[in-house]
Amino acid sequence: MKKILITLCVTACTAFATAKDIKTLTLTTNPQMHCANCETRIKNQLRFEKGVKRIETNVEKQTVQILYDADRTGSEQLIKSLGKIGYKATPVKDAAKASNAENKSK
Amino acid sequence: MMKKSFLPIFLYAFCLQAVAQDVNTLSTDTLTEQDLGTLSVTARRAGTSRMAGAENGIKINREELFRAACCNLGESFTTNPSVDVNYTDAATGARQIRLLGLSGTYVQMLTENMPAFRGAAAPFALGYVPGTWMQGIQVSKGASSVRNGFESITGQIDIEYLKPEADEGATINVYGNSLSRMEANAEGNWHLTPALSSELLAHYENEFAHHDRNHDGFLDQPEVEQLNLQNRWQARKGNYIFHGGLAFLHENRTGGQKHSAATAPLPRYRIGIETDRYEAYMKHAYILDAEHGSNIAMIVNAAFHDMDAGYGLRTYRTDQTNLYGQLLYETNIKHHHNLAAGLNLFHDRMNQRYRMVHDSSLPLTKDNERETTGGAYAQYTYTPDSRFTFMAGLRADRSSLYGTFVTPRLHLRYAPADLVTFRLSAGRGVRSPHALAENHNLLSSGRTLLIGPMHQESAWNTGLSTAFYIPTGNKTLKMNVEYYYTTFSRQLLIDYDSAPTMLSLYCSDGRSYSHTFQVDATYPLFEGFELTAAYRLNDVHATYDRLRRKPLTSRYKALLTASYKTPLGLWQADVTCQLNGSGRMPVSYIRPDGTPSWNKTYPTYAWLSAQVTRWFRHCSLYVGGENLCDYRQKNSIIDADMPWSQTFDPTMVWAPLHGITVYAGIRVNLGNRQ
Repeated sequence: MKKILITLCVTACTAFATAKDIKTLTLTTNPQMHCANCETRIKNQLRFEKGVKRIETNVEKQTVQILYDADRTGSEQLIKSLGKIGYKATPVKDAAKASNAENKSK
Repeated sequence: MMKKSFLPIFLYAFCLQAVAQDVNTLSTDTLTEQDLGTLSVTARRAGTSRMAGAENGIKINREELFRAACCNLGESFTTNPSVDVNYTDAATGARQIRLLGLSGTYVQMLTENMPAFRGAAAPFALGYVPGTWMQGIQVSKGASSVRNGFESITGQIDIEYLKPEADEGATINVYGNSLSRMEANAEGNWHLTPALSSELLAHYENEFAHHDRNHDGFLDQPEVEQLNLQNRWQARKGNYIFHGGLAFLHENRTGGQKHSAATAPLPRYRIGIETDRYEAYMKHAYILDAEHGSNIAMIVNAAFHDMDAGYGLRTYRTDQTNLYGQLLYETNIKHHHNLAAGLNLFHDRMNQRYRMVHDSSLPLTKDNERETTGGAYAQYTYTPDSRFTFMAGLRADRSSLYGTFVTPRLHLRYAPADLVTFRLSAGRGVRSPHALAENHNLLSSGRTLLIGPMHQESAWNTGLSTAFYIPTGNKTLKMNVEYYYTTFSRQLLIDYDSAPTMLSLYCSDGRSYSHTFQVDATYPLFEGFELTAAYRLNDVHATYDRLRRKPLTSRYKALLTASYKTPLGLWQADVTCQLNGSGRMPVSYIRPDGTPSWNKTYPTYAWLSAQVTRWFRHCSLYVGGENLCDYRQKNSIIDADMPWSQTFDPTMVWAPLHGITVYAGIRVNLGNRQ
């Protein structure tokens, strides 16, 4: 019984220790995505980045949504990665703020 | 003790799995909150796609070719339910495609819409196209378009090579298997100017050991050393487009007995086939009016095939020249009406020298075959809307040997709803047989080879196919049901049945037909996982001494193939299982001990393959196994201990010749390739 309890305790601790910090990052790109080829290019660049779990692209909304393990990568690294293939990426909130500020200044 | 130490590991793995599942749940929740309008998740690209238009065809994409070893064209149909690839003999390793249950000669082989691998190149042609050179393969079933000639009877297989104008870069591939076969492929392209691109394709393969697993004294497969090179060019200036290329192939194929002691005091039975092939092609196209789709094009292809083959003391030598030219014009007459018209010219010249008996003191027989066929065609396509297509083609040709003949073909496509598409096709196909050139590997049989007078082969093919797209769950079940009937008015028969010590090749007007029924379904069970199941019935008959089932042709084939790619596409696993039905063996004879030389039929057998691929940013690694059920034809060579006798026969092959084969390979991408 004791052994089983110890085993369960060790397992629970291990599971706790391996729990991941999963985050979502939504980006817009410049130049914009126009077609499936643009989407494929972006996905092919991001899918080999460490910690990336899932990528979703939306041409209509011009968004790239990335699900990633924050312990293994960060938003800066992902943005830098897209920069390598010529896409300047901006987080959606920042982009929205910039757009609002621009509108107000007008 | 062992059990206890495994328990925490198992629980740990379970916890990791739970964490992983949590990630999936999170992503699903995220998805539900979103507008799925044009959302593109990192799903996998389809490996095969149905061809648009009236013809019933599929396009096998590069993604599909990566699902198995696919070292060459012959190994590229493993996961395909429509096309069979069979060994035709155990001594030379010759293979042929079968479509609609019929021999590969009735499938028109094309490389980028140019007729390819004619005459003496046919028996080994499936090994002449390295898998890594191909961008895709289009398989059209039934009466095909009249544009590329009159020869297609059961369909067309068109190979698309990688393009010079693609993203610049290079790919290197190295492959090895447990049969000691090593292959190296390299492909690279560069853009010299924005308007001019070039590409270099290279392939080398060799075998490094002798294998005789059934201990019959013969190599299980011939040892093939091949060097294959191709240089391709593409240029574009304004409305003018040029494609051209040069190709060279050298192949040394050696097989037969491993040791001379096996047949002492008679000499060792050896097979040696040396081939040099040179090819050049060019295509010129000019877009006259882009708005109306009007363009004019000229295609020219020249191939020189030099072969020296020895089967024991039998010999077959040929230097063969094939020339092909096409001039074509295409335009949209009005918005829904398209017209294509053109001229084709085929010239085949075969300078053959052969000896069909095992007696080196006899001189070689000279037999020069020459044929020039020129013709014109017109093809009209009416597409009033996306739901209906009518395509009718007619061509008239004149052969220097067989006179004038007409080839009509008709295709209809009707999609009454998004859920279903009907396709109907009917048409005639005609071809000039070259009995010995196309079947010279049969010289490996000890039977006496008799070749009768040749006439043009002619057949009609009709077919009906229905493609269903059935929403099931939140996915689509793709289902295809088709039936094809081919009937020959004249056919070249390879007759094993009339006499057990003779092999007769002759043209027959007797009844000969093929019924083929196929149903296949594909469903993505869950994200990244796709399952395809297929079943095909073949009923193929021909009149030999009487109407009989075609020998060495399976009555059915069932296929189940599954593929899983992880969401980011970093790992891929593929499994394919085939069940090849039983069939008829040629008529046997009675041995001196009173037993028949072989059974009347051969049994059903299963074939299993699996592959795991790991994709990295600049390379991919793959490991796999073929024929994992380890089923092989044990006596693939009849009377292997008497290779100089009339009863010796390695040409009655109906199952794999090798057992389990394990392989591994790596593809490295350089430049912009991914």
